[in-house]
Amino acid sequence: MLGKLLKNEWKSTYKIGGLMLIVLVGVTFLGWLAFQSPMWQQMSNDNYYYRSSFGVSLLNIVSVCTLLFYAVMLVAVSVGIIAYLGVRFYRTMYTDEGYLTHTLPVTEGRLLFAKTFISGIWMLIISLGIILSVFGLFAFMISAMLPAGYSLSDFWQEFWRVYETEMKDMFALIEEAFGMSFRGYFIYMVVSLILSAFTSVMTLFGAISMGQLFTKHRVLMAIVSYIAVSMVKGIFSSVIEGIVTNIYVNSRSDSPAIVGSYINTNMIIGLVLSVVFAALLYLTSWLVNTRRLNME
Amino acid sequence: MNELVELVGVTKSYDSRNVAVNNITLTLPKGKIIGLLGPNGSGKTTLIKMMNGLLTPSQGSIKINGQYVGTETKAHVAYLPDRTYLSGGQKISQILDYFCDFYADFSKERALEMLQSLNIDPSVKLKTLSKGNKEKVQLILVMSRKADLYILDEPIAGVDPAARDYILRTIINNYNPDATVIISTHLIGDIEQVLDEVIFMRYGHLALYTSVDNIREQHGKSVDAYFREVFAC
Repeated sequence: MLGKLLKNEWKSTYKIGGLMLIVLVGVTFLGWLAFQSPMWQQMSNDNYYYRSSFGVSLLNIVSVCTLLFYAVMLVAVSVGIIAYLGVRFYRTMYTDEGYLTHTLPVTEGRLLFAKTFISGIWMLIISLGIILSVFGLFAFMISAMLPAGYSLSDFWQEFWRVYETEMKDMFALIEEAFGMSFRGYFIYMVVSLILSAFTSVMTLFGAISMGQLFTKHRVLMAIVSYIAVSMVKGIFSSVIEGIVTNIYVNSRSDSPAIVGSYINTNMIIGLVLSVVFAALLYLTSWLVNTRRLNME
Repeated sequence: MNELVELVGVTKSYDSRNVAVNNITLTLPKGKIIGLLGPNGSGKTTLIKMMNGLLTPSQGSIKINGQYVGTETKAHVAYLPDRTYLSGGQKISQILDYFCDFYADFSKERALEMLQSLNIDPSVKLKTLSKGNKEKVQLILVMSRKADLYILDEPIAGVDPAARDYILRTIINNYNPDATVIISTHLIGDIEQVLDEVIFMRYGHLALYTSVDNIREQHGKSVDAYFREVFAC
């Protein structure tokens, strides 16, 4: 039954999720178009002479406005996907459609897992799409600003050459002195990205389910619950961060490695807190659906 | 063992002043068509929702086929709510596939036959249908299951007399003869001829549970007339 739940959940969400991906591709294309304006070429260092002649033209205004539109659309997509998933969860679980959802011969646990998993996957896909779009735009910008005769691959080759010859050793020194690991940070970012896709929907669904514990104004109470959960999480994070900072300050260590240790500890605590809060809210959703389900 | 539904001290209260269903103890047999009757606000829908696991009872227990309400009972109960529980954006054919996926006792062939008899094209989206046809599609989905218990909440409310006839015909011609059908309504006159037993509810209490023949023999009245007498304002 879990497979059928996952299949049907995917079938019900892929159109809107796919549409958001198409929007991302579309605005990324617009971003590429924006960098086709001669303004960017004129702004490059090799064309310094032309900068004095750089003026306000309609094309330049359109280019800047397009980039602003790109930024707005990126925010709209990232907010839009979480709003869509939240509304869909509420609609299929706690409104009229919930009458079918909750009378299916499946356990509430599987139902909740299927919805959380597929929603988490969509959050991850859209997050990756946004990251790729930003990297793409960055590449378009570099291409547009490169001096004549230079290609993007020439730029990357030059970048890696500079990194290998001048920066690599410096980074190694920083890592050694401060007890940091840039490779570790990269892995941490990847893990955070994956986990945050799921923890964000678990938190959202948990808050929506908490709203169901009230007899009236359930949507409003879901919003209040979400704000309250975010505030509690923020306060909790601040308190723990304060305790950690206090411990490090009181250690009176002269070693520079304490900087890396402090950063690493805070990052891990932040990640663990997110997971713990999300797990608590997932448990709340499960309890509401198994013990306190009261469809209006 | 002929018992299908067993309610013991079932109560649903939202607060101390608002008790929707009050301490109902009742056993319903297999193979009967039972009318769940009562005026608006008497607790019929609340009781039905608890039997389907959509509301958690404040007190008491409900067993269907010897099992507490849960995944197992949902596999054997076909429920028609008093509202549209299908997504309007879906095509009817997609909804049929959905029911096929989840209900082992669902017959797609039977559903398609019934849709054809109503000239409803399965390839259209549900939202393009009229209110009456939407209700008929829901009824077809429910009656295409070979369930042990059919719970129909107000199946004939808000439809024209011709549609009522169709709905009642569909129920009578398609339900599993070994199963029990519970029909909740306050339009007693329209369904009286198909009922074996009746449950009267008033202010959340069980007012009466008896057979239709018993009412006719003991009181010399139709169920509709007796209902009007019992619930006279």
